[in-house]
Amino acid sequence: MSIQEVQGAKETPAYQKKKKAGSGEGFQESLLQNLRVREQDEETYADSAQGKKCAQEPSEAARIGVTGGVRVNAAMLTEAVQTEKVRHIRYEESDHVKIAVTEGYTLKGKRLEDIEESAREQTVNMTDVSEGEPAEGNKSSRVYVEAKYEDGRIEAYRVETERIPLKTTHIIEQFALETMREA
Amino acid sequence: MEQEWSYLAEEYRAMLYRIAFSNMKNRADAEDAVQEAFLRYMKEDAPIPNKEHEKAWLIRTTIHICLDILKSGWYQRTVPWDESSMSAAKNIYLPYQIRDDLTLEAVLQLPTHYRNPIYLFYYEDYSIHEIAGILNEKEGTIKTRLRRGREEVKKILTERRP
Repeated sequence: MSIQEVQGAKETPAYQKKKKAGSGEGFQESLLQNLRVREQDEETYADSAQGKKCAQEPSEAARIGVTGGVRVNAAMLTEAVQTEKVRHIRYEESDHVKIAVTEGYTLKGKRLEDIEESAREQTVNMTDVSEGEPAEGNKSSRVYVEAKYEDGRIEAYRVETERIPLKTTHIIEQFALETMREA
Repeated sequence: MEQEWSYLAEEYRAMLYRIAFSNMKNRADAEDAVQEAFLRYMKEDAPIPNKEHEKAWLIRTTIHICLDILKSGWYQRTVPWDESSMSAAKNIYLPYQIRDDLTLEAVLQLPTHYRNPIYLFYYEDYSIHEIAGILNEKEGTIKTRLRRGREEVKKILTERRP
C-alpha cells in the first residue's frame, strides 16, 4: 500500500463512547483557576520571603484561595494601621503573642519604641534605624505587629494606638491595644 | 569540647525539650529523648556546616528518637505514670504566655504528621521553609499538612464543646 493510498483512505470514525464536547470544560476551567491562584500565591510568598511589603500589593484572590476564612487576611489598612518593614522578632522578644491555630495565623506585638531602642543599641549607624519612621505621631503609642499566615506570608504593621476607634473590631487594632496593655 | 557541649545544651535544651514533650506528652520520656539527641550529636562523625544546620539536625533527630520510642513494643505495652500527661499543655513551658491551653491540647492530640508541622509553625515560630528542611519534606507538603491539621484541630475543639 502506497502512502497516497493511506492518505486517501477514509478517516477513522470517531469513538462512539467519546464524551460529548464540553463535558470536561468545567473541570479544565476549575483546574486553570486553581493553577492561577497557586501561581499568584507563590509570587506573594516569594515577595514576603525577600522581606518586601506584600500588603502594598495585596492579591485577595490568592489569599482567599489558600487560607479561606482567615479573617485577619481581609484586614485592610486603616487610619491607624500602616504597613511596616518586617523585622522578624521572636516570640520571646514580643510584648504580646496571639496564636490562632484554627484561623491559620500568629501575631506578635511589641512597642515600636522598644524595638527602635534595642536597634540603636545594636547598630552604630543611626541612619538605618530611622528608616520608615513617620514624621508625626507619639512614639510611645506606636505598636509593631507582625503577622504570619498559614501560607507562609509574613506581614508587618505599624499601629498608632491613639488613632484606633474606641469600639474597634479590626483584629490588628485590637491586638495592638492588647499589646499596649501587656507592655 | 566541654565548652561546645555547654553552649549546645544552653542554646537548644529548652526548645528541644518542648518539641520532645509535644511528641511524648511525658516529662521523663521527653528528657530522655533530648539527652539521646545530644549524645547522637556528639557521636556524629560528619561535620555539621553551620548553626542553622546544627539546629535543624538536633530537632530532626529529637523527633526521630521520639517516634522510635513511641513505635517501640515496650512503649506501647506501658502506660506513663506521670500524671502531667493528662494536661500536657500546662507542662510544655513555652517561653511566652498563651491564653488558649485548649487549642494546644488539641494540637498535641493530632497524629504525628500534622502535629509536628503545626507545633513548629505556630508554637516555635518556624517558617514553612525551615520546617520543610527539618522534616525533610517539600514546602508544599508542609503547607498541606498545616491546612489539614488546622481542620483537625477545629474538629477536636468542636467535639469537646458541650
